Amino acid sequence: MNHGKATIHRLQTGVPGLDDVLGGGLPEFSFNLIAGKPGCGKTTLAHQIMFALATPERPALYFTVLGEPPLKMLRYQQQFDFFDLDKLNRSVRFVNLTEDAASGDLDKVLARIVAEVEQRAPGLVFIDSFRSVMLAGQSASGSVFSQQQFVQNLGVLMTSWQATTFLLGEYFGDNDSNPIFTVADGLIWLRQSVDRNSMVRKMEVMKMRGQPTLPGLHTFRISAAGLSIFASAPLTESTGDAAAPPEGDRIRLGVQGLDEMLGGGLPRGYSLLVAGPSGSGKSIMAASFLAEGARCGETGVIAAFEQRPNRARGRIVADLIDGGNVALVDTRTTGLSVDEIAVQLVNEIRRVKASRVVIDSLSGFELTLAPTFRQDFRESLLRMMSALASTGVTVLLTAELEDRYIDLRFSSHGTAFLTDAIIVQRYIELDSRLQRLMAVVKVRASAHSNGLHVYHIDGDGIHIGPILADHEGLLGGQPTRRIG
Amino acid sequence: MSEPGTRARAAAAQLASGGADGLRVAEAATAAWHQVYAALTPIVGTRGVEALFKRSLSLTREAHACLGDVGDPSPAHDHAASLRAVLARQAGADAAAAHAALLQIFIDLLSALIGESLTARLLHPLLDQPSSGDAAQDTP
Repeated sequence: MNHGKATIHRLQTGVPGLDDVLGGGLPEFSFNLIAGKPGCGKTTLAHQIMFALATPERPALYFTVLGEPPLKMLRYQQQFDFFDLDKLNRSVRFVNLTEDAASGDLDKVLARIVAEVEQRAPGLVFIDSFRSVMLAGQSASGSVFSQQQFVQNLGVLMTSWQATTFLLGEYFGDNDSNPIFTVADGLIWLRQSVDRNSMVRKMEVMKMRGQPTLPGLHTFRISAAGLSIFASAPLTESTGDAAAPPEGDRIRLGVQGLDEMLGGGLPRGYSLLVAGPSGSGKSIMAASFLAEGARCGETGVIAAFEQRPNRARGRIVADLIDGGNVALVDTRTTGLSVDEIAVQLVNEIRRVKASRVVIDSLSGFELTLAPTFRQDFRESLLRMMSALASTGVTVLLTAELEDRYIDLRFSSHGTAFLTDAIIVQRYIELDSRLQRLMAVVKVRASAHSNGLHVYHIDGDGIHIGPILADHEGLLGGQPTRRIG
Repeated sequence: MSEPGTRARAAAAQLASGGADGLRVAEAATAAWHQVYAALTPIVGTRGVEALFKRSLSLTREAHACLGDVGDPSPAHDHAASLRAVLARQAGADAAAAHAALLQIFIDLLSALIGESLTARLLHPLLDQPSSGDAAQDTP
């Protein structure tokens, strides 16, 4: 029974991904701190939220204090798409507190805030930067107690005036203590880390009273549209050994003979890893997979991580993209995280209602990542595969495999366990020719061929040949004709 | 030159064509700067506006030497009163030209920093007011 209990409305912040991280949106009338080092995006985040939420009925007051000069702030913030000039002095009002804060008299600062709030009755209040207020107060009185009182009074005032409030501040470390940490309902921490020549932005919601936030660090990017947060997708139940799709619901890969090897096609919703050495035809198989989907009226999404993206995608995939059958996820941005690609993939899958997804290749994917994300590659991939599985798409991943004839491995990333099915390709020497060999290693909960088939590639794609029944030692790369 | 600056200059220059004397120009200038300060001070602070005014004054003095007598803004100095006194001593046309130039340069400077749209939005009470000059006479 929820009868008679207070209802907490959640405001949609207008920042892509933030509402997911916050656990459904920002609680109305909450008292929040946006913290982080200079340049990490605090002011941009605050402006983005403000312009999204401010209306004539719910006006916003943005108090600027000793930090960034207001002219500079306006100069740079108006470059963002969300900065709506029409809202200025109607729904959004900037108030300069510099002179009040410079006196160091916190009572005076509070009185000025009170006067403005009483006059404008804002639904949203921002104080940028709050740390400047506190430092000014500290230098004037040296009293922490007055700061505590100031924060307490501010919190009480804003709650009474039903204003959702944001204090912005530069906080330099996890050990930085401040009375605001206790009073605040929400603590949003922005960080940026530099590793070699890459810079990565991350966000953490350390506290948000009354709702389950997504824990941990979430990467974000700042573009002309403002912040986009790539929430780390929680693992869903559809990963691992989930129940197999309905019997008989299989899709064709578009390579003659291969569907038979798979036991009649790939079960819909499965993920397939195609592992093989350079030039073995992995990308061609991926293109056939998408083309077959288009032939059946299905749409697809591809994330291609080539060295030369403009040249290497191939005619088939380029035509499918031009024809609107396949959507392309932009992978050329530097400092990528797996979560960012996962969010882009899921967004594109939903946008074009895709049923087939290609990631070509995992090796290129790993190289595209910012160095800081490479050590968590497997864990991140697991989350991404889980997110993709939850959409019901069938996924084909390729993996570059260095040919080693002393062992049989399927992925240099230890990622084979993530997929439901595996096809491996290898080179062998046969009759003084370099021939290609393909085998289905695994199709979860389904019978499949265990034959090692030779295949060749021509202008029409991949052609599967027979198994080499009269040879042995194929996996060693140098088979010999069986005697007898 | 910015569009808002040009607009402000044209309005200020009308004072001369309307035959206003130095005192009338000085009063009009005081009213205009009062509007500028009222619009900008809450947003960029008194010191922010004063810094822009000081820079504008510096840029305008070369062409309008009479503005050299206007003291730089400071907490101890009422530069608005100083500007008023200086303009009131000039002939109407000279005062109007100096006022128009100073106002335009100030608005151009602001436009260069925050863009013409935002400038026009913030200063619309000044820029959008109807001309205060005399009504045009119909030719008989």
